[in-house]
Amino acid sequence: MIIKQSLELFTAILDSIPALLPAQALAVKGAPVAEEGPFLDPAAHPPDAGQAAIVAVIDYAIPFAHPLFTTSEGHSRVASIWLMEAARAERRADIAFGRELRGPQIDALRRAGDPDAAYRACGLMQPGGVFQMAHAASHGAAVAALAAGHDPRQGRGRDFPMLAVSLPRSVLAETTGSLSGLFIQAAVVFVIARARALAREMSRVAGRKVAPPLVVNLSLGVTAGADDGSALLSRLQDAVTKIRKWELGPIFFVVPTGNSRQARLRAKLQQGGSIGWRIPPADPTLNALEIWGAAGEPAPRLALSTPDGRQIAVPLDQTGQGVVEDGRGARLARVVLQRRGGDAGRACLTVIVPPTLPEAGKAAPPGLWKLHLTEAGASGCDLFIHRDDRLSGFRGQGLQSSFVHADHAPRTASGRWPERDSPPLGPIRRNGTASLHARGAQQIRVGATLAWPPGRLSAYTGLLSNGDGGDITAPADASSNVFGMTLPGIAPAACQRLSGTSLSAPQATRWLAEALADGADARSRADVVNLLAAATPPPDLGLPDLPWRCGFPLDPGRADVTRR
Amino acid sequence: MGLTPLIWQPAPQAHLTRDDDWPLVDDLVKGMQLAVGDPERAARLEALQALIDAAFNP
Repeated sequence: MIIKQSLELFTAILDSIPALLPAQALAVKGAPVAEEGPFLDPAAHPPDAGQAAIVAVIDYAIPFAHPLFTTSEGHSRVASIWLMEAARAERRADIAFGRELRGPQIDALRRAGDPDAAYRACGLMQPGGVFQMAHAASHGAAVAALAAGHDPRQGRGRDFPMLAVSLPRSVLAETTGSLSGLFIQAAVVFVIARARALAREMSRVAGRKVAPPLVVNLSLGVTAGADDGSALLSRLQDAVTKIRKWELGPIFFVVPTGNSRQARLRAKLQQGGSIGWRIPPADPTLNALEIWGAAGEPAPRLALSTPDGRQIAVPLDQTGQGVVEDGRGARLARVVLQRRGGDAGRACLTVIVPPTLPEAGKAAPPGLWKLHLTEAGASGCDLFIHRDDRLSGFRGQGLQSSFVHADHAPRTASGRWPERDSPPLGPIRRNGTASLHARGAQQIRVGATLAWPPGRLSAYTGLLSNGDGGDITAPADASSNVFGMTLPGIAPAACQRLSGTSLSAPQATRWLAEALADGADARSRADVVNLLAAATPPPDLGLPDLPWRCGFPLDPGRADVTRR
Repeated sequence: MGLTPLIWQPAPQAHLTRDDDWPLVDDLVKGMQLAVGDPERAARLEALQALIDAAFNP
């Protein structure tokens, strides 16, 4: 099965775990074996287990002890969270690093004081050490609150028991997102394992067999990779979605379409075509792109030009790899040609340029590189530049490289950001800029819109191959010049303003979980799209009805506005 | 002093049949692996396998 295969493919990352995780998350000597306790206090279980939905959030720095994730009696609604960077205060046979906390354990840790006491007890607020929960705000706080945060004074939250995984800082600080694969894969497996066990507990407490639906929110993305659904993460999620024989009802994965529509990271070239690749100076991180041929077609042949005008033809016509050097032995680029998906699969040419920020006297030349496709199959090639940025809240950024072509106009004649591609098409494309984590056959892909005018796509929203902004859209910006929405932070009284499709996806998660808990019959992406279309065309969720004011022009706090 | 021409240096044919994005990962993790090996690696793999079993076994 795909999941077992994928572990073998993550060997390099498995070998690097001691460097990617803090020592406290790895140390195990002397730690007692954890008891197999319950997931939720009996008073935190759903009043009617047949009308409940499990919501899972995979993100970073999730404030699991926040009041938005508690019941009116103060019990945690978080049934289980895997804190991948937490100190290993106890051992579980299936937790490879960090620590799992269950609802009653969170209750016990928080009783010792405020939420910070729970974070400190897990080693997540240590000056000079792991300090992810010492900040006022985090991506995970915003996403989790949108997906499953409820006013503890109201009973509705108990219908949505939560599962969560807090990913390690190091893999999210890496700017291409390429190190996160193993951890996201493990997080998905954890969510499935605990959701099944939680469903069994819910059945026991209810005294009858229930099969709660599961909605998993993954507000993370990458900009390069297989765009045909063959990437490991997409295949795993599609495989899980198809399973019907478990203790669970339908399973959905909700993902954002990404924020790179205007970033010039996506292009299409035919044989003989050329395009510029602008690599910024003083970039401390590497720059990379992938050139994909169509299935079964010959591998592309590439010629590279450096900014000073020197050119070299890459002599790869079958799988192989090599390095482009200058006459003094300095490495300027590494090129690898693969055939992914077997002999009839797609050729993938990866070009990796080292950082342009000099280190020990070495640096790749910044400026305008040129890519010339000397040979390609009849379908041409799809080009994807790897992203070079980090989640909000991370200090420092990579410097994003981008494609350059004379036919590409960043804005329309009136100064607006263009939406989908329209003829005449140049090499740089906006269609197909959706995150490469969002290419599965069954994932619910969510784009960002403006609250005002309602339903208009935010300029950055990545587009699916057909030019749509997602299967569903949800507002993440107040208007075209007032970005973002107001969201809870880590501390109970903290708030933050964030923007991006990362915030639209959890709104869709929240809406879908509520619909499923209320008895909606949906088992596939098409069912979900039809469900929303039946309620309100076009497929935009409209203004969110949240337990806090979200900072939109017509806030749901006003009586005349409700979610459509 | 003129510019020297670019040179292509072929690299060993490792991992080329693998079906994932190892080329970039290899560059990112370069220098991260422990010189003496990771004594907990087997235990971690065992735990990950146990998690897979808990998730996918009937």
